[in-house]
Amino acid sequence: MIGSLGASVSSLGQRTLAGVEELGRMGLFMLLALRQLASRPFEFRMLLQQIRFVGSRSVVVISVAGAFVGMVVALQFYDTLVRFGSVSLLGSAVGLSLIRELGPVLTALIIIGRAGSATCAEIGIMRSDNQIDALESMAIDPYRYLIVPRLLAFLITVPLLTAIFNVIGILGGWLVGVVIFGLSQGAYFQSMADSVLLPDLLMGFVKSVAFSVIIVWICTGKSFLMHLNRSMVFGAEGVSRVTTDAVVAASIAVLFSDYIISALML
Amino acid sequence: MTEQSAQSDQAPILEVSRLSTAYGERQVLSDISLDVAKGEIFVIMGESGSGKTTLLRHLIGLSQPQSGSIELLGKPLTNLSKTELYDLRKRIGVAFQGGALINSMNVIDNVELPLRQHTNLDTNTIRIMSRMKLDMMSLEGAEELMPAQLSGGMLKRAGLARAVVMDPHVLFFDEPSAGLDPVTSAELDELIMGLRDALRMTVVVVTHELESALKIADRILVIADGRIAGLGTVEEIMRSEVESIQALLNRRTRERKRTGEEYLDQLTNNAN
Repeated sequence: MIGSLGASVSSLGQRTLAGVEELGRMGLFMLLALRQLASRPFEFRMLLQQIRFVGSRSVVVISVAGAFVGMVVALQFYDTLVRFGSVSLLGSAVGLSLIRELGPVLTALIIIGRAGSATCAEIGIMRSDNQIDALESMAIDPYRYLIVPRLLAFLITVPLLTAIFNVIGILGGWLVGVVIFGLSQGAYFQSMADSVLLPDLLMGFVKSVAFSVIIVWICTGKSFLMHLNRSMVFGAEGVSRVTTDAVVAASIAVLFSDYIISALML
Repeated sequence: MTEQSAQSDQAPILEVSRLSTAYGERQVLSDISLDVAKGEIFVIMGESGSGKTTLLRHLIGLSQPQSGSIELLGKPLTNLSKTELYDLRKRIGVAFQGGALINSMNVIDNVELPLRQHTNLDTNTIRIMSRMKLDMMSLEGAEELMPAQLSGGMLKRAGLARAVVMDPHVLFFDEPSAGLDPVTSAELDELIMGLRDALRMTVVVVTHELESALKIADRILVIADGRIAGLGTVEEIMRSEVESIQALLNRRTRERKRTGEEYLDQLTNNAN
């Protein structure tokens, strides 16, 4: 019994150490990437490719998601507000929910699933296939060539996609509240304008920027550093594992930081 | 030729002194020393898991040894700053096993990559230089293909074209014949020797393919269990009485010969 208890404690200790090691490596990874932001030559073509991949190819899914989320939020709030005779506050409720919370968080989660996982897999395959070693051997800094364009692409596109989500979501809410339930259009938009203030917009913007950094950090870092993970296997299985880990870790990190930012800014 | 330039011509291009390295508690390389002369084809041979790929990674500066020193083109690899290391890497070429082409770029973009990154040449000149190297590798017409569309042999040749596009002083090969049929492998051997003769490169090849090594090598280093088992010309290696070298040359198994009954017993026991 003492033997098995010892083994469990030892295993827990090893896992904790491995986790701390990984955290340290990820921190160092981010510092090295940030250090390359000002390096030349700047990979402008790569940046445009990544903006297209992360941004413009996500517009449709973000818009569809935004529309349905806006509609469902309006539906749920209408059902509650009508009991208190406060249906005129529907615009305010939809606007604040989307702009402060649902827009940034749901956009981030969709981007993790779509672009974050693909980016993680792509870099994982490059690591597995010696392509990153090939870049190093050609005297091309892989942080400057691979990571910086992706970091900037996520930083630029995620807040813009969040804005698109919010706008489409507000229109979705209008469709339900005004067109379906017959609320006054003026009341819908006026209540939104009265209650959505600059601090709310700032909160949404700060969240979207923070989430974009978290997504690209975790999704690129996990796969870029997969060869340093003692339990890692290479090939398809390794890339699959690291991609799943990255998606889960990024999603949890987004939700955790959402709470922290909300607590600090409210 | 002045005495100084004659001496610099005789100085080894690559010099390794007492290199040792470990992964955790596992000693991978122990006390490896070698030198590679300018213009020679130097082959590093060994069975799978002998440490030859680890040695290659150290020679091109991708890994740092626990102890020992490596000097490449007159520069000590172990003490260089990142800028100095990158300057050195612009003078070498590395052809990885499988080509290691960037997936998202076609063949010509892959080959042009080092020139675009490290020179101020205009687009047309870069394109001409890259096409010349692809023609050398018999890859005319493959410029617009993506890596996923290439065969194993074509991937290696495209990787090789990229490795030589900057006319490096030293060319490193990691398992050039792995996964290739004998005909393609022989063609690649001819290519390696042709590169040394035409472009006056020094070539370091890591391989476990015996026929290939014996055909192209000026000198061979045999590694077994992370240690040097033998170092010399092809004839010297062929005459060596070191057991691990003989095993490599004769492809003997390390197990004693079993009778049919013993073999059947072993299979039955393993199944149970």
